[in-house]
Amino acid sequence: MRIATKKSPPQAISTASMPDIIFLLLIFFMVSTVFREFKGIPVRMPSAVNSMKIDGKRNISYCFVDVNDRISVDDKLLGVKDLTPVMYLKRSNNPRVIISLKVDENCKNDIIDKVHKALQEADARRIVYAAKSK
Amino acid sequence: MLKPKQRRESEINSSSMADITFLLLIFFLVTTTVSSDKGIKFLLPQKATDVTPTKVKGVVNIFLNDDNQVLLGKKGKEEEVSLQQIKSRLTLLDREISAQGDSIIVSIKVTSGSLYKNYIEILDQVKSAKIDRISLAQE
Repeated sequence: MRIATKKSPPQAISTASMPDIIFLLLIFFMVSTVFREFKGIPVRMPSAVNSMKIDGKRNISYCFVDVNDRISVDDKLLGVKDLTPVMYLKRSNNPRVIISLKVDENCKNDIIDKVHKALQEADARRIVYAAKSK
Repeated sequence: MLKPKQRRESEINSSSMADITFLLLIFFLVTTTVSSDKGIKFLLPQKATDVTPTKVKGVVNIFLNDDNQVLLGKKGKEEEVSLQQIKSRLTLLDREISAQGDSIIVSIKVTSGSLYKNYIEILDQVKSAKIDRISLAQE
């Protein structure tokens, strides 16, 4: 007489909850994604020990300055004189705006001084000197 | 007797939903950039309407010239230091000034021909010395 072998139950992991998990991930990424709007111009940023992470990505507006003293805001090349009205507009649209100065490390401080003055004129005084961490 | 017609249940097939969500998920995964906004925070002073010289105690000057040399010290007692020495010098001066009951203010003056990276280095060292009161002199 043959002994009936025990049949093991089917061992399949239930994938019914997979769409839910994917949905959850999707919603997380949808909410946290901030699209990069502007490319800017290539700069070599300086490095600093006290370079901190800046919170509030939505409030950050970038101002690029390269070695040739070209200033780029929102992918438009500006002169120092045009900087004040542009920044004033940003400041009035969002009073919490933070201007991130992405300045090339080999720039002269002359241009920085002019940018400072333009920002003060526009009352956009919260700034960040973008720097890599050492 | 008439049999009531049984309605066939209509249902939209939702088996492809997971695929669509997957696709969207992958899109967002790819487009998300990890935040890389790092820098030194700074609050510019309000636009000066009329500047009146005030006598404040505890001011330490830091000068940076076109040749990127640094002078550091109390008014009239500035000495040449290297960029790396700024932090230790400031810590000493901070202690000295607090002992006299004042609090330290660092005044940074840079010439227009000096390099930006050295200015950032100075600012970094001042921040490392845990000094928050910074004054930026403009020409």
